[in-house]
Amino acid sequence: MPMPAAGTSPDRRAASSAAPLALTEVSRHGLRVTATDPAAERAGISTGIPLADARALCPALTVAPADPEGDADALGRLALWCGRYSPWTAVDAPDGVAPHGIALDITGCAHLFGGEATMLDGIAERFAGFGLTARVAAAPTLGAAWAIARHGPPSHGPDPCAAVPDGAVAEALDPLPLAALRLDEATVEAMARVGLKRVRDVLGKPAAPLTARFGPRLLTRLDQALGRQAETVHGLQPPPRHQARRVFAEPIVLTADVERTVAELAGELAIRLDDAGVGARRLELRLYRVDGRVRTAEVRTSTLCREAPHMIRLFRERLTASGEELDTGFGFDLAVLAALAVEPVVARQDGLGIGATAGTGAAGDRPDEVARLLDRFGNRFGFDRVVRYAPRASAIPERAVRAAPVLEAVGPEDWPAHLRALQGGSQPGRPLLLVLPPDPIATVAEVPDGPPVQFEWRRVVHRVVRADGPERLAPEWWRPGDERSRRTRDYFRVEDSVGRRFWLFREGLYDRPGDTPRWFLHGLFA
Amino acid sequence: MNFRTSTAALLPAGRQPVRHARPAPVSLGNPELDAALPEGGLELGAVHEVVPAGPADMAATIGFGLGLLTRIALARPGPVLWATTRDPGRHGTVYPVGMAAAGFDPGRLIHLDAKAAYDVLWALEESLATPGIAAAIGILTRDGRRYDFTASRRLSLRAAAGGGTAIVLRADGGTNGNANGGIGASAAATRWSVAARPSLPVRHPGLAMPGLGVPRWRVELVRCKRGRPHDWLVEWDHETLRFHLAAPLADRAPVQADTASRRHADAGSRHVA
Repeated sequence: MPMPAAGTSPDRRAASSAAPLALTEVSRHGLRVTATDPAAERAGISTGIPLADARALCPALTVAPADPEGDADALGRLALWCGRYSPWTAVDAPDGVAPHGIALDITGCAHLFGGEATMLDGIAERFAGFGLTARVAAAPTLGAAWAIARHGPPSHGPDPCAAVPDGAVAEALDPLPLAALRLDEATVEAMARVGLKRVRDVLGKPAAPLTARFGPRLLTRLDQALGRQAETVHGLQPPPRHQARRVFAEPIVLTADVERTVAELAGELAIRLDDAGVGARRLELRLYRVDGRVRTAEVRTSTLCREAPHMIRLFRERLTASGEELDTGFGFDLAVLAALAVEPVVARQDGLGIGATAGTGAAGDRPDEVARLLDRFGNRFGFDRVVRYAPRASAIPERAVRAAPVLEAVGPEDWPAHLRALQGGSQPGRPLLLVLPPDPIATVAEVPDGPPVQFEWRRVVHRVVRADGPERLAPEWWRPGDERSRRTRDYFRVEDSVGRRFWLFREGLYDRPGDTPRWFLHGLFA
Repeated sequence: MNFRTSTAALLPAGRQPVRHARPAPVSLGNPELDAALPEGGLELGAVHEVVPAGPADMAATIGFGLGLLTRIALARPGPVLWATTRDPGRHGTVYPVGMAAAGFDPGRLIHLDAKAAYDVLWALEESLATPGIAAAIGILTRDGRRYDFTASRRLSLRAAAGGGTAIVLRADGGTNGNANGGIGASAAATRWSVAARPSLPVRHPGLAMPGLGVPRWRVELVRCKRGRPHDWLVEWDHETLRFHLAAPLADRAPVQADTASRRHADAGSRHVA
């Protein structure tokens, strides 16, 4: 099966400056030029020459340090943006071989953009619009597209695009230098030493001697380029099964337009999900800006979602969360709403309509309503901020409770039993509010083992008039933990002279040599 | 959505909030307390405010708020929303085991820890519009000024329309004191001001210091629509899940001759109706 692929190799250049520009990098032999703009190229500067030579050739040269990490980031963003052409899009960076680019598997996609040639022209035009010089090539194999985009004949011609038709791969590769086969520099040099310089020099040659001398990689790359060995583009994201998209002739900039678009897409997606009998757990909205950036918004749901109004609401709140304005830039020209994670819906019979009138709502509807409310809370504030609590079998107060995000199902828990296990009876022996971490306090105690008669917390002195305790909590020695939870604690409930109730503990024991007990305030009673 | 904007959008065409099928009020478990409320109990489908009497009475105020929530949760099914502003360490974090000890079922609790008062108010408004939520409490330990008359009116209209009940707890209610219990005008149905009071001592034989009784607060009904202000010494009974009126502290000094606590005891008795 032919696999058309397109490779582009953008160079980051400052398009605004008129002076010749070169980017440099520190190498083993001093500063070297890594990239040039057309003006510098005309002055005879090529990549790889030392900066001193470049300055000699062109004294007016503007030099800036190369920023490989920034380039990689920018390339990643562009690759994401290229997702508009095909879901199988990736940063194309074969190990050790520069320059990097973007690879797209456009199998079955080209007709959506008016055919291969039109598509390539469109891509090149878009990149030119971003101020980037891109070379675009389409070929039946990824390797061939890579070769043509970087080493193909049109690279010096006016047309930056080249499409290799099916069956013409060998011819297209024939005149190219061996570096076009995605080989590392050392291999290319070694082959040049024995006179192998072009692809035609190895095409049709016996495989065994070549492999013996230059390693298996050469043949693998050659076979991949010729389509004798399969190679796939590993997309940045798995393509969604269900999505709805909308392309605009004119970019939209108004938030109201974006909202309307989301509503339309949600309606479409809801129908598709319904047809497939699935509900979404994770939904993603991607808005492609005309200037090559993608704004994404993801929402998650605790129950399977396939109703458009719920999706619309979640995205509206997501896009305008905490009052920030949606940054539309120069506008969006493509919007995609995709269901990233879906699960089959188990059909549930609704009531017979008795009592299911608006306003009162049947009892069976209520869990859904609450779940939807929690979805909205979670997507707005983060799912780690909306929690339910479950008991945990531990006597240490901090560990006795587990916060479970509402996405997680928490079964009915036996809190009374947990409470009995913790404090023995039903007295209010645990505070309403826990101070975390425990606040160190200064205390005055009558007897070393007794409750304090006075303590100072946050610069306020409290005189203790009532106290209960001690309640001794032994450390859970079987758990790996910090030093604090390894010491015995004696807890006291105390009340001060004006009626405020506190939970204090003494850490450590007096009768243990080398142990200096310290006092902490751990909670507040109502 | 902006809480500063007018509440007109929430009013239906007739300019009167719809009040359909209003749920019966919830008894506080004590006839005297119920009698002070115009509905004969805590009104549902309304907003109630709880404010601490002083900056140190926050825990007591939360305790009283939890008592109100427990009473409502007994009468209505569904989860209870506990919305807080992220405020690490200052007032402590909610501890479900302690709630269970006070008689509230933590399994019904949904805790939302939002960033700002604005978000808490938004969450309250949304949960008031969701009939599946039994009740909601918003604890504004920070930036409480966000909760002004407009915000309270918004919440009240939502509550009246949806039948939900919200409790708003303003931490700074007592600090910028005026006669109204701290904060200014409000559309809420009631406002309660809460202060911690010494509990009834439990004497342990052989120990000099007595133990703690059940939590006791001085609760003042500061504002009440169609009702009169009132104050009581209230205790929360975690066994029967109801409020009790406490007998004033005994005239006898508790074990130690302690002038400070006796002064407070006297102050308590003066307020008993």
